[in-house]
Amino acid sequence: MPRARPEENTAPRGAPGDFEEIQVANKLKIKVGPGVGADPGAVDTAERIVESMKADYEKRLESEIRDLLEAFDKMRYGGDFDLDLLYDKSHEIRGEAGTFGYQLISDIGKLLCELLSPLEQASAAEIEAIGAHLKAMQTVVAQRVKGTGPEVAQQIVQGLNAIVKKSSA
Amino acid sequence: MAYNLENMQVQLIEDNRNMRELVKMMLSALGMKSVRDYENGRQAIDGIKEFVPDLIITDWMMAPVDGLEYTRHIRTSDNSPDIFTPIILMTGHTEKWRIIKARDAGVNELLAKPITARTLYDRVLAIIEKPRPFVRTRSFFGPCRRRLNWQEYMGPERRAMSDDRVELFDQMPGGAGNEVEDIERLLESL
Repeated sequence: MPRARPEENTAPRGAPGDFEEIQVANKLKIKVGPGVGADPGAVDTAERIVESMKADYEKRLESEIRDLLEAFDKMRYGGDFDLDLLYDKSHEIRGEAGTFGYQLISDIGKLLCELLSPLEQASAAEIEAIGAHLKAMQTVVAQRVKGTGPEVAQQIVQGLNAIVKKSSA
Repeated sequence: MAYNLENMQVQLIEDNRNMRELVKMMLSALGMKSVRDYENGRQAIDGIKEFVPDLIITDWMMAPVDGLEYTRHIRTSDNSPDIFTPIILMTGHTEKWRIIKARDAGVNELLAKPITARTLYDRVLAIIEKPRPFVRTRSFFGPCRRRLNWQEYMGPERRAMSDDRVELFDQMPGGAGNEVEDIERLLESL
């Protein structure tokens, strides 16, 4: 399921003239009124909460990437690759990392998911590529590279990007 | 005076426990204090019998009932408490075909992961301030699919796979032929 491919003709088609538009009462706006508009301090408050969770997250992220690398090494040793597991874990890491400011981890995780997504089996070159992505994530966390990182970090992403492009060509 | 979100009933469905806790804390900080969280769509279907949400925020990939199946349940089931309930779909999958699939299931808004407090708040405000009419055709029921350019939800992430990065890499010393070794060398200098 997570690595599902597009289905054919997913957009439903209605017959010509077979169309009804329904205007729905905005019950939600009534419920959250009578005030109007955004609370200017709300986002700052939420961002402070996220910031306060960051130290714990960093420890957990390190441990999650370490576990993932260990699992990958075992797969490599045994020659039996659970690509769904690798995809699911990478996808989870990717989703959370960006929220905590690790955009580079998120970018690398996204590329790894794109690499894994179409694979039924991994070739030797693809196994090397998966390992490169995981090592890149581990290094970025160990060096605490936040945001999109320095120029060299951008080059790493560009390199991984090229691998993914080449693999899917 | 701003909107008071305190009494807005929110159903949050996400199978990743850490992500679920994080989003719940963000929602609380943004003013939404009445949030019930569930691990998957099956739990949410059961939960909706006793907690009728004003807003549903759901992840996509879950078992045994995923976010799109749950959306279809809300939109079409006889057991749905309100077929017009607004639904925000959180997803890390931003490929165009997936976005179209989500739209066709009847989702109101997409929230691309990684989520930030700002993007989450913006989607909630969009639900409140820019509701879309619903449309019923022979094969679709849900928010009108024409109002938004859904591509905008792909956000800056879509540039992660843009061709210009590949071109840049091709200009690097060694070209694209020894990528893994190049990356290992770069990692050492990080």
